[in-house]
Amino acid sequence: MSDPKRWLDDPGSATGFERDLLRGARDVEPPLGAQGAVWKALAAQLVVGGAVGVAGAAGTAGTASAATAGSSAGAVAGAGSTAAAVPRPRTGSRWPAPAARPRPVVRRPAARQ
Amino acid sequence: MPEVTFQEVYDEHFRFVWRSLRRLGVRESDVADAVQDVFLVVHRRLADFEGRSKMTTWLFGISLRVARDRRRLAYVRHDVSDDALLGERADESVDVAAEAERRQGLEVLESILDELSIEQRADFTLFELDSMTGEQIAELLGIPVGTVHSRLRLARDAFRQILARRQARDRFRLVAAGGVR
Repeated sequence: MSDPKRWLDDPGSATGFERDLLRGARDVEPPLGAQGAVWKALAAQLVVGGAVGVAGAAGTAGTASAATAGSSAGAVAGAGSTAAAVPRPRTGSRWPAPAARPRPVVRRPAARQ
Repeated sequence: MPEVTFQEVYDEHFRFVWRSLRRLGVRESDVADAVQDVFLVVHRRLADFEGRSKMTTWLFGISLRVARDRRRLAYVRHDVSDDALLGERADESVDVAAEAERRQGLEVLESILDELSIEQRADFTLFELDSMTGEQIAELLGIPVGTVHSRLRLARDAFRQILARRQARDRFRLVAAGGVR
């Protein structure tokens, strides 16, 4: 089954205005530094939640209770969805980075074609 | 047997998750938090991932749920679009008028895409904006190619209807504004 022609590739399949709208939205790259910033916030949250056994984690917890945060994080994962109640440091916040990165390990799936 | 760590998954797929969330309508101002949500789930579930699907399929599924939840929350809170649409950032060196026009175009596009179902939106943006093939999208979403094509057709129809409605409304406002002068 062949694909239809893309609107951006085929002037006959979309109006100029439609193509202009799409053309302006092709780039959605993360900004520079976003990967590291999100990692720091994520790792801090995992440490606060007690999800990983990281040496020195106690000093990064701020005022949050590890047990409470841990159960919230569990709820997030269990539901497979977001949970507004989860205490979280926002990216680029003042929360410090943990001493080590979380490292749960699983087997790598067999290579797929 | 080789192993994959959470960190490796993060490092390898951060960009993919970010882009997926943006394509699924998560605002630029929210996307970092949404990426966190996705990887929190990944952290909890990675040990259960058996490799029956591709890692990207699994991650996209999680991203889809996270985006859907955020969409629901935004609807409840009646959020309005922020000024950073579809990941576009202002560049101070560009012409201000051109930049304003570009942002206006992005706002129109975002408002149209917001009216599509999230599944249609995924299909439409992956095909039209990311230039993925039907087969690639089918593999990513874990659905048949025929479903990808039918969703795309519906999404295109809806896109045109919404755009036509918007344009009619704008014309009406223009006329109405002219009438009271």
